[in-house]
Amino acid sequence: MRDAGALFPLRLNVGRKVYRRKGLPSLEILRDFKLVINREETLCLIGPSGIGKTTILRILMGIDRDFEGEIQPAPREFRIGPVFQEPRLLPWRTAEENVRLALPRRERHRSLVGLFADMRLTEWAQRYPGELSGGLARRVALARALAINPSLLVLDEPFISLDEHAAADLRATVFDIVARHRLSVLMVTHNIREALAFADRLVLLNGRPVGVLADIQIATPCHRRSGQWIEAMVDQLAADHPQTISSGRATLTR
Amino acid sequence: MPTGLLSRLFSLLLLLVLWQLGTGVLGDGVLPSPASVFAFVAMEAQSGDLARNLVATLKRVFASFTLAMVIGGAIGLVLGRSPRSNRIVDSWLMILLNTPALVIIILCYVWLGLSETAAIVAVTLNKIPNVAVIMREGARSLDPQIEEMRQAFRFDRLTWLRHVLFPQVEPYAIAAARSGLALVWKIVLVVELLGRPDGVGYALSYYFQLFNVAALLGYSLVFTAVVLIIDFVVLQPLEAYARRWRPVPSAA
Repeated sequence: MRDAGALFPLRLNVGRKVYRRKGLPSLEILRDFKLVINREETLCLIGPSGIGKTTILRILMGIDRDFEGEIQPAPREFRIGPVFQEPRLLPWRTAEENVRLALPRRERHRSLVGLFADMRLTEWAQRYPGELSGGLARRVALARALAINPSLLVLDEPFISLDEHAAADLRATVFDIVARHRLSVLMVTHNIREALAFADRLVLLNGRPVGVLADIQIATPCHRRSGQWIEAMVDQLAADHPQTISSGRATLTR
Repeated sequence: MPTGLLSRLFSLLLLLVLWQLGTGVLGDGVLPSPASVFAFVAMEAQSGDLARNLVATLKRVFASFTLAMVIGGAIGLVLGRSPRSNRIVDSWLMILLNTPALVIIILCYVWLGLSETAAIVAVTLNKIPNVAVIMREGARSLDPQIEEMRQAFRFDRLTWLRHVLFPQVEPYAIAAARSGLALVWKIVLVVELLGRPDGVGYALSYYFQLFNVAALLGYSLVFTAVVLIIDFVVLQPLEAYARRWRPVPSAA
């Protein structure tokens, strides 16, 4: 494992990624796609659903190895802390066991008390996932990704299918932890306002195969971004990229 | 007393009454009364033969059941995970699954002699394809989302086996065990009948030659009771334990 300084910038170069589908023509998702992720950066990938955002994450996570291209440094050199769209906990293990099992064997004895307290999960540690609400299960999934001290936290639309209150609550926790630990984050979302509230850098994706429509650095620090600021940004983005973003709605349209 | 238990007791009592009525119609020679069957059981228990034969049979059941679960389970898991090996082994499995138990038993006795080894091998071979097919289904039904999760977290092989694979195939293993026990003890009796000097199967063949129907019914009853107790005391609690994490389904 290299130290974080030597690890970044992390480069993903995909020459070609094709989805083969039974009985249907295969689908070219990515061609000559390049993404550079910098240290302690909060990078949001935004784009319409079905465009291939999750595919990019799956390649980075090492789940999808069927592609032409490379990741630099090699994936074994760094740790990715994955948070999926669903909690994906082991239903037959308690919340605490779920977090512990994600750790490499030699680190399993580590105390998780601090982490569980940080995540406000202490009283739920011994419960099975089936006994947890959707919001709590996500919280456990997030704790699991944080427990492994990830070089890069990867969030795949972590707040969708939660009710507004639970989503806001979890969002606040994530933003707080990321800021406190200066984590490097790659988040996929199709909620432009969520991205604008959180990201240092926005990468707008669209087209097939997917292309980078815009790569925008945001200088204004998170705590200075008011609702007004966000709305102004949405309007500006909508004017610049009318095919991808419409200012009237929270989500993106093609 | 819960109504479930009450109706079960009632159903057993009804069976005894019907049995007694049957004896009245058919005569004690064809269908001995419950009383004469229980009298035989008591006598056989006193002489020690009942316990000796039961223990001999249970030992064989235990040995071949364990072997079949371990070997069949391993085969099934490999086949469920690897389509290539499944394409090769699947037809062998189907042949073995459809070969009459009797043929396997006779062949084992011919090839290995009338020995304890032959008996246990025969029963095990009969049960392996059954376990393998059930466990193969289990290995195929792994949750793909959880598979992705453990890849992303780079679970090592042992962690994957113990915490991801086994819990998912546990219900299948228990189904295989319960149906397996029922199958194994029936085949053990045939094996004993054909070539062993003790065991419940041997006792049945002996009393068959004497046309002693009370003895036949007595042994059969006692053995069924023992198997039910094993199911009740060992397998059912095991199943409840395996289900402990499942949320209780709501009334809706």
